[in-house]
Amino acid sequence: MSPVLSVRDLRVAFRTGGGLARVVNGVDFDVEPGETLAIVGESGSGKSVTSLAVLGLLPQAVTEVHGSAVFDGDELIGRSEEHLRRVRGAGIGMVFQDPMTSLNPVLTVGRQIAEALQAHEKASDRAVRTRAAELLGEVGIPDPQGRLRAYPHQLSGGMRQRVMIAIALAGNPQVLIADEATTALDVTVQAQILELIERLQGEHGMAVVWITHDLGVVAGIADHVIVMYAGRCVEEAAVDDLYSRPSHPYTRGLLSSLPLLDDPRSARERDPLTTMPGLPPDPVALPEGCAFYPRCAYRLDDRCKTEVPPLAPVAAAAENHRAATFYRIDAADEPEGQR
Amino acid sequence: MSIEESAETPPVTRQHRPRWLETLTLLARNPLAIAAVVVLAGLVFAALLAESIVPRDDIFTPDIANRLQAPSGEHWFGTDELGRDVFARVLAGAEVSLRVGAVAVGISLTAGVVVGLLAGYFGRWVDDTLMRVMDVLFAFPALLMAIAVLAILGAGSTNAMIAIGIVYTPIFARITRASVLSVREEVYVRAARSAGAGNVRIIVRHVLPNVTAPIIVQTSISLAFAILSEAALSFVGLGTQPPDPSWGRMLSEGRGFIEQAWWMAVFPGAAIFVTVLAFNVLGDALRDVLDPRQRSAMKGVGA
Amino acid sequence: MTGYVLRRLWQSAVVLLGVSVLVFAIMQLVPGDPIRLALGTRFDPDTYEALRARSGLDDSVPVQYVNWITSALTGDLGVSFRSGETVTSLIIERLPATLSLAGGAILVAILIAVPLGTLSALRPRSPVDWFATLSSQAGLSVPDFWLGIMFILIFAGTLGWLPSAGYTPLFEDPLGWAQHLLLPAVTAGVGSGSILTRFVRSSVLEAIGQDHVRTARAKGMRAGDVLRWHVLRNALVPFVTVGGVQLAYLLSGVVIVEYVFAYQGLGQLAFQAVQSRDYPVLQGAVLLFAVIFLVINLIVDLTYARLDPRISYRSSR
Repeated sequence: MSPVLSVRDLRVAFRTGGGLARVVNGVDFDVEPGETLAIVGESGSGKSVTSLAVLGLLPQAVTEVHGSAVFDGDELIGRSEEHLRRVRGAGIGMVFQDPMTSLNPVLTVGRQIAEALQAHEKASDRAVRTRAAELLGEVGIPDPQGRLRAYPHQLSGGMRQRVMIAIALAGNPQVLIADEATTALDVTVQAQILELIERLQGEHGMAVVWITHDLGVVAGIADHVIVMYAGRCVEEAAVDDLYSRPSHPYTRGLLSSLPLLDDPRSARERDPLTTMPGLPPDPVALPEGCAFYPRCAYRLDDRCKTEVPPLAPVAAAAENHRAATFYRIDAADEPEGQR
Repeated sequence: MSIEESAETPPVTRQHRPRWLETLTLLARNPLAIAAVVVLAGLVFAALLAESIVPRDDIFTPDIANRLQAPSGEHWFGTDELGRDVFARVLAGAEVSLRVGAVAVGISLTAGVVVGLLAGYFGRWVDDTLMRVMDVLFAFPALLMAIAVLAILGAGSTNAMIAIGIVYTPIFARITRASVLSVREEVYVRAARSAGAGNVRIIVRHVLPNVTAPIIVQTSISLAFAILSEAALSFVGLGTQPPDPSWGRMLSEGRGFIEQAWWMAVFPGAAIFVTVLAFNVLGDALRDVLDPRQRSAMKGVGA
Repeated sequence: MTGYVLRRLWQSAVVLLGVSVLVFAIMQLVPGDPIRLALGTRFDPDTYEALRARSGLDDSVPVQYVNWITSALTGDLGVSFRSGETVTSLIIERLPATLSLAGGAILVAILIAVPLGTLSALRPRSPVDWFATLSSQAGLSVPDFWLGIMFILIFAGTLGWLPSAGYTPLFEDPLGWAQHLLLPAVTAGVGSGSILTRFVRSSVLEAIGQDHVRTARAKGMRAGDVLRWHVLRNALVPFVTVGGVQLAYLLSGVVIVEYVFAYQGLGQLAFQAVQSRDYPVLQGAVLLFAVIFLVINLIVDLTYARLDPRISYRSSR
């Protein structure tokens, strides 16, 4: 099957007062129809910017985007605003992090769903209202007809996020991008939203791209995972492979900082990192070599400092599990720095 | 680790520079602010030295033979209906405008800051009472209020200062109160209070320094409005009285000769305009520099 | 919501009480005998006694206040020391002129501010933005009386297109009304327009940066619809406040513009009352201005609560 969304060598930079901030530095990934891809990384890793760049939602005046993003056989990068507008909502739907600020506080929920419906097809007001109520029902909101007249502040956080999902579903997208969609919610509500999206994914046959900083969320839902650091993909794998054999020091750091792991025999015991010291590099002044070098407990001095490690298979037998590091778990179980 | 460290940490400006120096440095980067300061410095210079630059006769003594002369090499801004040199009078008018403006704002500033400090710091009934009084003053249209005060006190530039001073007091009170409220519950103020510091000491040492920034900004803007108000009051005959040169007064005299001698109205008006503009521009520039919220908002536009 | 309305009504009532005391005090603070002063050279014992009795100046001050405020509440603001007409009738006579001027001026201000402010917010740091910033700074600083004189010099004098002074009632002569209104309205509108331009710019900039605008774009909405419904609609909320304050200011603050154009409105009435020491008229006009200011502010706050559904919610919690 051919991928529904295919991103190649995507690069995004913002022109700032301090210089060019290189936020995404050559990202590749494919989203197969109906699958769930998780993009994981800390804030500032470029994961959200990647998705916004694909849909042309970054401020044009200060943004430089290069590379390719092909959706349904159609290149998106560098296309006209009108072309992208047709894809937004109808081809690719998005759910954002904070449902409070992502909904317009002065318009009713019904109106905001109606806008999404009317953006792509003409329909009578009555038909739009009926469809909007159906969508609210579909995302599990009780009394959908009555809630159409509600304002966002009259709903709970979980309900608001359901409204956001209803908006994203309105255009019947082939791909749903959920950008930290559960981050602002309570743990129990998080689980409900995850479940809801999984159910809708099955019903609508959508592909879902989960963007999150939380590897714990990813474990239960994703088919594939890519881990981003400083605007690059540092590891990609099927979800089971990633958890059983995290191969990039950064991935291992992320996993070890999780409070609970489903699978205790994974990286945890043998990984000396419990927290990762330091901060991601300044995108205006990226280091010459590996961007993770300053924080890496496994670094090899000369090479890591001067050469960017390419994304390469972690072992001959695992062609689809790739990591961008010179360090190989099989070669040495102890971190370099401690030898 | 050293090279990577420097790549990570953003360049840090030296922390020990005093705040006012920081402010001036930032201000100096704004070409409009520099222009405003230059204009204002020129005006202060003119105000202080007018009578030594231009002969006193040119300002006050009528010279009927030379009345209503168009601008020329001899009379740059022409002459008025009594033959006095308009340029000399505009220059001398700077002194009146700046003095009235400065004294009026001094009154508003002092009264407003005291009221705002008391209201914000003590809260409760003190706050309610003082701020309702300010609301009452605020409910009157500024210029009409000044006119009404002058109706009671009588016309003249001293009374104009008082009238304008009263009118602009509520703005300073509101700004000061808002700033005090925001610092009143700060840790350092509570710490000082629990360490037994008295109210006066806390206000002077801890609260006042933290409310200066918005007050400085408002001072510059109020100077603009005060000068505008003085000109307006003099224009309608309630402010500065003849024969003292006042821009507003000159403008109202020029109005009667608008058909024959446009210069009599154009130049004093332009002087008011430029002065007010300079204070407004400076006020805006100060706000950009001193008000961090505004500043980050401006940076946000670029990012 | 009702709690919020009641609280605002109560606050306004308290301020209004203070306003009435202060307005009443004008008469008390005037040095000397106000009626004698007002009559000046036209002094005549009969008129003097009549006015003195009518004004109740022989009562004690608190009694005078209570009498004055009770009459004022029933619409009786006393009689003019000059003409002997009731202050209320003088005010009603002048009201249409001032309403026309304030309405015209706020229209001019909005027509300047909304397009210019929006354009400059949509293109920050572009030539349009620079123009908007500089022209609003200039508009804020230009003395309205000077601007008015310049307009008269150019449009009434040199070009001879428009009359330089006076007011014509709308129903007598609509064209004359408009011609007499145009220059004063533009003169008075420039300052408010400048304030509003700056305000529109900053509130549109703020609205554009909101997350929900990104959501709207991500839905696939057309740029024009996003601007209308998610940027301008949200920027409208604070705009109503500032616009309302400007309208209140224009209704009560155009004394000078009316003076320059010899425009027979309320500002002129008040100003002439000062000149002729006609204190009951001054009191009446000043009281009316303050009431207008308070009422408009109240309306603005209540409208604000309607435009932003979050307000009433917050305050009712």
